[in-house]
Amino acid sequence: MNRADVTPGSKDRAEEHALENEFGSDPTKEFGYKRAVAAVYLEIVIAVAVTIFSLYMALTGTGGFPGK
Amino acid sequence: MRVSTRASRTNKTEQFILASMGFFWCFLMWFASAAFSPSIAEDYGLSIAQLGILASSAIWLAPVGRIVAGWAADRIGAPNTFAIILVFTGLFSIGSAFASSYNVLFIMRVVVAMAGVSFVVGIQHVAQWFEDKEIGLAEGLFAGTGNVGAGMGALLLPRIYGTNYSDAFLHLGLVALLIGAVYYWRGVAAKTEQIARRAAAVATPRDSLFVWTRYCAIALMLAYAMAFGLEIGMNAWLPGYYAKGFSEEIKRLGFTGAVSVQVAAGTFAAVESFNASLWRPFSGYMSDIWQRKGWMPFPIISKHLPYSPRIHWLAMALVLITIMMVLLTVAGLLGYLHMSVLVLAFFGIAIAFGTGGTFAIVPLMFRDRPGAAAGFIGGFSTGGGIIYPLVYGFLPNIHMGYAFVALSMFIPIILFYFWTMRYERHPEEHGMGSKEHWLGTAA
Repeated sequence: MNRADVTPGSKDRAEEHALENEFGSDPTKEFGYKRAVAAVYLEIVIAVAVTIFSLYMALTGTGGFPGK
Repeated sequence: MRVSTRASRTNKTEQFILASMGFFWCFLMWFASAAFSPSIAEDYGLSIAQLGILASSAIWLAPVGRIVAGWAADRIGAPNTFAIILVFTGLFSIGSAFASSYNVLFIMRVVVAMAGVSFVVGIQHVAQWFEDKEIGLAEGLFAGTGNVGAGMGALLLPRIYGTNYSDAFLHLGLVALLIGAVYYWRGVAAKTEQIARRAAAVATPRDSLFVWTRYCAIALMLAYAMAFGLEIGMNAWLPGYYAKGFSEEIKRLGFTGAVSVQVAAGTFAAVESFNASLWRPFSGYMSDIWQRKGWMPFPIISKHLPYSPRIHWLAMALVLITIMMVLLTVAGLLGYLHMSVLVLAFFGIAIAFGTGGTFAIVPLMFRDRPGAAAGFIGGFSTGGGIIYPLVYGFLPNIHMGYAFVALSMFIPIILFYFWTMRYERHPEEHGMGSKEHWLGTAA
């Protein structure tokens, strides 16, 4: 077999996956995917909380040890 | 046991949990030395320079180690590779608990820091199990969960173990051995035998060189250096930057004395680290959304590849990182601390968009060589973590470094990215030397 035939992105592979995308099951409707999206939003809430805490410190000099 | 037989007894969720758990623990071991560096310094009487060497040694082996690990994941499967990494670094972690001198401890901890190479193994493992439509979120959550290991280590290890780092290293190593055994027992390399065989068949030096010489692989590596390389560089740089660059503002807030200033500067700097880690899964999720909606706003970049919208999403992230770098300089020159912290938050988010966006593309563009590609892109890009702080430090004004790097390094990288991603078919085939030149004719 020619090595070039198994190169990533070869025509067959691209078409195979284009078909998978078009006709495959929609993962976004799976329970696991929805839980994963919920985890993403939870992480964002934590990141925003840390940012607000740091901004509070930067603006007032209080709120964090060993500040005022 | 054959992959097809074992694959029928598991599912992608279990494989995802294995990869994430393994990576989380590896990250915990990777940065455990940093968490205990004050205690280590006190026990062995280390100078500031020696502390700096201990801190930087954590990434010494990352570039080469990640390349080898990526290749091994393709060749022998991610579960085998991950188990080897966990057992190997776990044993050295246990050994470091009984180190009799600082030199022995230092060498053993450098070896333990190799646990960080597991990133590319997990990326490869997740790519072999998840479908195109969900790959962004899956890779983002995997990487984000692992990165949290670093923060958790810094937060919890000193609280649990106090100054007794030997016990911490011992327990971390023992748990690594346990996770390694579970990974080896339950891990399956790919969803199907065909996928696993395809990756193993092309895991050769010639195939690795083929990947390394592709323009789009180089562009993705540079993009990741703009994102993850910048993230780890800033982690090291920012506390010192705030302590020096905003010393007057921090004093006016009431933080006086070395310890107070250090805590305040560290808190401001943590904004970048937390946002860069925690928004990363969201970036993968956004990449999935752009893919589903078909959003492709940029000119020049391909619009007809099966994953073109993901390439456009990463382009957006790179532009945002560059803008935020310039704004950081502006905030610094104006002397506005609160503006700098606010910009830093958006800067962290932009970095997360870049890291998550990159690895939402890599497994799709290099479908048959995900390990080799992840190793190259995730490995060389860590060099950014060394280069950027050096550039910042050499400029006469401490605030000017961000804009200088953005204009002199990032804009050329973005232009190169646009240029390489313009091909409407098989961008991975364009590079230095033809496909036939690297791969020849016989397997």
